[in-house]
Amino acid sequence: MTARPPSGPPRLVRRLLEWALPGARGGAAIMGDLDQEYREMAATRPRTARWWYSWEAVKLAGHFLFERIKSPNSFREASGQRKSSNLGGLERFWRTTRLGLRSLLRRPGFLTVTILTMAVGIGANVAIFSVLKTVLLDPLPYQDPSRLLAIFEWKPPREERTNVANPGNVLAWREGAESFASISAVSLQMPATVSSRGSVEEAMVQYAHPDFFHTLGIQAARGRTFLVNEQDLVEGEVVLSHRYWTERFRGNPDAIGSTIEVNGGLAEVVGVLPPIYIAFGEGTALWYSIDVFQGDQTNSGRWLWPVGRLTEQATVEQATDELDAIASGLQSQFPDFNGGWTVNPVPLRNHVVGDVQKVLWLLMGAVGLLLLIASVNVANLFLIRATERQKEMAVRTSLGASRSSLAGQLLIESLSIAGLGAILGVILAHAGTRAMAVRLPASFSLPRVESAGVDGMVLLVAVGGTLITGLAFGLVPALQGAKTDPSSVLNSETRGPSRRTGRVRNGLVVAEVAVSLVLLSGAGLLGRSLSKLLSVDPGIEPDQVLVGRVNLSGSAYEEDAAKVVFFQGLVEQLQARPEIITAGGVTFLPMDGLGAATTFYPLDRPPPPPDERLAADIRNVVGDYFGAMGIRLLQGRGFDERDWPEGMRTAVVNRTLAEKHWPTETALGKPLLISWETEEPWEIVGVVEDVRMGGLAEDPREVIYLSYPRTPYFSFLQITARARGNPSNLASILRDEVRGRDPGLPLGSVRVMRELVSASSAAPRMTAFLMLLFASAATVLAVVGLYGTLAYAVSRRVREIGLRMAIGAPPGAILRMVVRQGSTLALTGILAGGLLTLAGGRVMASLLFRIEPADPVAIGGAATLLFAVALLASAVPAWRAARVTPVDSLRED
Amino acid sequence: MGSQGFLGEFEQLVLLAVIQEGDSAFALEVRRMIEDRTGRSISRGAFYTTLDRLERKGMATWTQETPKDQRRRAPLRLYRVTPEGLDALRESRRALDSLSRGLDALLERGR
Repeated sequence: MTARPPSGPPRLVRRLLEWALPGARGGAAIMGDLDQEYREMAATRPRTARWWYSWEAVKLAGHFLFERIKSPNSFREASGQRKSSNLGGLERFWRTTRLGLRSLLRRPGFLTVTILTMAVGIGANVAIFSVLKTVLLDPLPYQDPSRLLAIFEWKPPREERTNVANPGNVLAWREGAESFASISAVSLQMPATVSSRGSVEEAMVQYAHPDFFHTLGIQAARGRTFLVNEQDLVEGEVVLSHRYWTERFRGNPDAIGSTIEVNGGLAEVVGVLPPIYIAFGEGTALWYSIDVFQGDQTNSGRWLWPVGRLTEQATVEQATDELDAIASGLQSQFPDFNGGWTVNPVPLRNHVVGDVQKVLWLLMGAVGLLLLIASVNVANLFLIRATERQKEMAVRTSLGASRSSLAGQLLIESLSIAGLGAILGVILAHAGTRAMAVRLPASFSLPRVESAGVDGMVLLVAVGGTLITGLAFGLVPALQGAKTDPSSVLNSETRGPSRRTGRVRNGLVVAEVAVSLVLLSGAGLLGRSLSKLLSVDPGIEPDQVLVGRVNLSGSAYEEDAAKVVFFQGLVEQLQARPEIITAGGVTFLPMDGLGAATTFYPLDRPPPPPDERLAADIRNVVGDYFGAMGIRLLQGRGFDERDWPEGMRTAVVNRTLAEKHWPTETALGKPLLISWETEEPWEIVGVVEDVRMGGLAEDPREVIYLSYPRTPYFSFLQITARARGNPSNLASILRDEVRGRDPGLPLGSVRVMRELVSASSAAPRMTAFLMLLFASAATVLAVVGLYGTLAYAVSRRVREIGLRMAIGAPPGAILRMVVRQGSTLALTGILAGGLLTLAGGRVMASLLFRIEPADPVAIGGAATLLFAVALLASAVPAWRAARVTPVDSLRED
Repeated sequence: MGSQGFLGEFEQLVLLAVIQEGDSAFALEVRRMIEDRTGRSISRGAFYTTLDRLERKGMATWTQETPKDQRRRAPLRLYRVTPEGLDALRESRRALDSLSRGLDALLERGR
């Protein structure tokens, strides 16, 4: 014997072929031939050979399976099996299966429509539910996650209920609240200059108290998280995000233990987090351990995300009461800073899934309805088919076929359809889940969606459900057939459908149309809401604008003056470039998620008590920021050299602020007191147009702009440049200019402003798109159902129609008769669906923007569209009916 | 039907190739010969089905041979055309000839 070849043909495929080929010796010879050809090819091209083999084997298997179904006898003879009338159990089963499959193949239209309907229903449901389960239902990947609370500060009546907290306040909770085993905190994300292995780049950093990860209950994927030491805190340790570790350090295990530089300070990398980490820091590259509670805590602003772990015994209510008590103490202790501020503890899970929850449940509802329609459609198709075959069954019964074998065949047929539908559905579900895992994160902040895979349990339920449906609808006609006396069917003169099944079918079609209208209206509402959202004036002109962040770190920029000199110089240089129309800088961009805010009040009237003072966003700007961003000046002036000198305290406010506090007079020249370092007033010198800071859907907030040269509290600015042409071309110019002034400074997070504006409407766009997708699928299914029912009704009435024609009915009358039947069904469904939509519209209210759930345009539009499609669907069978001739009706017998 | 009727075109091709291959008319070789001589690619499934059909009609028969290639463990079938098969081929040929008579000019021109 020679040695075995390195690798044989693919075993699974070979097994399949073995099973498909005719038995006895013939199959073995064919296998041998293919194997031999494979070996010859594999000698030179082993990889190609495997593919070739699989392809040829699948073709062969398909051929022989088809042959076997088509003419089973020839194969039995060819393969030398004995032909016997005394069939064994297994043999009889195969015979029944073959009969079933053959009768299915004779009606490819029915087969295709049914299988596709089932596949769409299963696929969409399993995919959406798998995502929903991963994102919403699976517990967070932390130890005992149900005991974790995110604790926010909130100043009613502000809409922002999840404000970051002040370190001093967090420290007070941490020391006073006994419901918690521990309370820790992590800072807002901040840009930092990170140097490692000789290269410098900008990365998002969060400063974490050393026991932060311990409180969350998360283990490092590699190395460890921060050391928790009661006596003295270990600062200056760094934990990397999994992504930063794989991208920047190429997943090198040696990264752990290495030293890197963060904003000029040395730090040791001690560990890497697991890939799935959720809490307050999407896109954070690394966490740096510091004692966030040290130093003077009063009045140092709010910049911490606190998280607490409840003790075993404590409830959320107890914890809330305890925190409230501490917070009211803090209010009276520091009335200026804490006046009106309350605590808002939220289970961490709720905070993490946030608004996405509603969208996912809505989509789940939509695909649930889709599955309903799909099932109804399949039931309808089966019913039609069963009635159609009543005569066939009767003939076969009277010829001596046993009722059990007929029932068996029907069962096999319906199970095969359900099985094929399920297989295709599983494939669709898999593809859908993958597609969503890849595509959705761009639109929604869906925690963990990347890890979503088809859920085994969900799949089992969906496929099991379909098989049961198949069984049920296979059985009903089988049982019915077994009961019917063949002679009554054969003798029946009129071939019209029985009144009872006809009514059931009509009812099913009406239900389908109704449910489709609900989905279509939903899609219409979301679409209208989206168009309203997109027509909102963002208050800026984002086209042609490029932004990029510069973070001044290191000893050279410790002095405020150095920061001002750098940024002013950079902006002036950019303005001098011919490619740039104008340039400026701002601390926080609109629609970028981050911002700074503080309380203020107008000084030209008596000061309100501290807890009634309102908060405004603060933006510090340099250069021609208003011009570069395209923010229109309404009154007064923007900032210029006049605002630079020491002692100048000028401010520009937005329209909302001006109109709210000085509705009848100009805001120019009015003094403002801002809780921001010193308690001296600022004079308003200009009013600008509102900008949608928090995204298109959010109402404009009150905003105060201050001149950066007078308020250089932040060491980073978002440089904003308006290009003469394509803004993307500015990236290299911007980078060069920054390097030209300081080669050690990276330019971070370079983006086209248009992207930020688009991103703020990405979630509603994706929701509307998915809803439209499901609604379209539902409509197609409903229309198929309507068409099927009408076409069937027409085919059953050929005789009657022919007679009518014979006695002089014009084709037009016949046409109208069928269309009337179709439109009656459609209208009934639309009416029912309209009522359902009005009743159930409230669930969508929170997802709609400036539109009522009962919006007549959306619902009316959906109804009109559905009716039009339904008319089209009736027109085809109607036209066929109108062409029936009296001769056709004779031919029917 | 008394006689076996006319042979299909593909059946004729298979029978002819079996005769041409003579002592090495194994399925694999027969198929390759048809592909080589006609320049057409032959579906494996259709080919084996046709061999089976010819066998059932009694026009071809086979004997089991021991493979020369030692790696091949599967049986090998050596096909042979039966006298009935040869008759059927002749009959088809005759029919074709008689119908083509006088059309030489037309049929040759296509070459």
